Amino acid sequence: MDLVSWIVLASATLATLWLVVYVGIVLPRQVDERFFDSMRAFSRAVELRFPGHTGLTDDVEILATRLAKELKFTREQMRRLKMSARLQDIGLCALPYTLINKKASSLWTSAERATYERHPDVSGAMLDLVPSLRDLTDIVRHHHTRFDSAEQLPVEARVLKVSVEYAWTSRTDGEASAQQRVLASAGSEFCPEVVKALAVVLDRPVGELSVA
Amino acid sequence: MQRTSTIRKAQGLFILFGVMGAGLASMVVAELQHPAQPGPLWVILPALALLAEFLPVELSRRGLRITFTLPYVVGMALVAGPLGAIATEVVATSVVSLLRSRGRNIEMPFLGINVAISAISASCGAVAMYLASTTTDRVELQAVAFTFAYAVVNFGLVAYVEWATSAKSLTDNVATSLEIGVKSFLFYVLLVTAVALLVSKGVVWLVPVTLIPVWAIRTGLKQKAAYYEQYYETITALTLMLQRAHPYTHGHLERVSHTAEEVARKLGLSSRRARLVREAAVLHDVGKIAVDEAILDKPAKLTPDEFEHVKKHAEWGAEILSPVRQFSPIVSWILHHHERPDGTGYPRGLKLDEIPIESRIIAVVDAYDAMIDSQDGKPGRPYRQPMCEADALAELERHAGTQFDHAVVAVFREVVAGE
Repeated sequence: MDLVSWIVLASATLATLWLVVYVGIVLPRQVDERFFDSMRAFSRAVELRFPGHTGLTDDVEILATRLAKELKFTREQMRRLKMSARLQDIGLCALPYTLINKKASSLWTSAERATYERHPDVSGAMLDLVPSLRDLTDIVRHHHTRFDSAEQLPVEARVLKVSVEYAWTSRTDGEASAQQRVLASAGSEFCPEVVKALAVVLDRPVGELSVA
Repeated sequence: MQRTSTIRKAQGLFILFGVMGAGLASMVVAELQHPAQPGPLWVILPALALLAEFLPVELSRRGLRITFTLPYVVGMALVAGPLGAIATEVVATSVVSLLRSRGRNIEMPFLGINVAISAISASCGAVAMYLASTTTDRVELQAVAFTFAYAVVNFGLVAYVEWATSAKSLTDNVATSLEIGVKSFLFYVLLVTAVALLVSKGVVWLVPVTLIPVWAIRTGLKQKAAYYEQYYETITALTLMLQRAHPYTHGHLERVSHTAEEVARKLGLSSRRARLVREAAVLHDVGKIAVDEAILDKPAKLTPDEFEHVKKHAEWGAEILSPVRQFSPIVSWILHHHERPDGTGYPRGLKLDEIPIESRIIAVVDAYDAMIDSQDGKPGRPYRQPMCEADALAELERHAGTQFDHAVVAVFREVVAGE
């Protein structure tokens, strides 16, 4: 074989090695990371529409990630959890602007409350129209569903439920009442496993739980 | 209706391509056949081609896909002549198409077209290789000749079929596919050349190893395709959110984006940029998700406070889109879509050429469509009676130079007149 042939074969070999590393390691991470970044657009849109929610998604995501680590989530479960945290409230856009921004939730009529309580379903229905987000539909649909509602809830939804309630209550009533509220309702409103993880994460003794 | 006519068109194309493929292949085989000694590669290469055919990248839901058999087909052309190459290509394509179509909704004519196209492309490749071999002895150059002829013919025919059987325009397909494929294609050419070398020097044991780079290219392209899909789905999801907050935007966005793309093309923007203009036009009002719909739909004149609130939507739109890496070129177009050439627009008060041309296009197309917007004879917007098209055009021209860009309005007039 002459020099040109050797050059062709050598460059083909080098290019192959590089390509294997690129498509095996670099590219999948990059694609995942960018897709996850772009999910921030959705939470930002919700928070711009309802300024009272500003920063809430970040709080929820940080807490949910810590719980998920404690619960030994797989990489795939972690991905679904973080994406759902960004997307769970997109259905709030269907709610009237004034309902959330200009009226305290304690003054809502029962019809208004019912509209609000439909938002997880609305979010879920929207995600159902987007093929690459369809695997999040169930999680998003149940991010406010009670643990004892006799449904089979995805584990990501149970973690989200605890994170959302905890983040929201500590924002409105302070961290102490948030802890009290979540710990007191373990087993009924919240999944006891997740609440146990929350106790560990918050460095509270597990014995304080009514359900241990 | 649409479906039947598509299938009828596909049947026509299948007959045309089928006759062309059969004729061309038999001519090539009859003219170029050269005697060759059978060897182990006569089995190994077709087997590898078959395996490679099982590793496709799906381009459309109708069964159109890119496969990576070429290294082994070119190898067959070298060891077994044109007949070997064409037979390998056609058999691999047919077998895998049939297997994969089971239980899926892919019509027979499209499978037939796939096979016919592979026969035509392989024949053209064989002719090119023969022509190259009359001027050079180098196997590398002969392989490159085969690859280029095959790729050009194959790509052209596939793009033509897509164009003839779907509403997508020819340039659209070419542009999209090229963006995914130039670097990969160069690597592919290198791979084909390497396989041709191995085959012609008789290094048989290394030939199956070349399935590794084939797998790598295919995996990379698949991930790129997924990346593009995610991009379009992010646009869809954001549009869904906007429509939840402000239901009137439905048909409006579709018309505006279509027209904006055409105006961009007519103004001489590259087709890639024109496509971005279309996507920016779909998203230009995404900031209105954060606007109180009661104010936006108010039939009466807005108070200064209310107007300030509505004006925020340009900045909010840019803020919503900024986390998405693929939107980075269009964020500033959306930020400035309410700027005016006379400098009295918002949010920054930019003048003339300081405003991105894409923003000026969106401003004109959006304003026109808002003026004529009506749904079933009723005003599309509570605060405005729809105008007739001539009045709306006159209104645009009256404000050309102050509110709207002169050149854009002129081109826009042509586009509207052409439709």
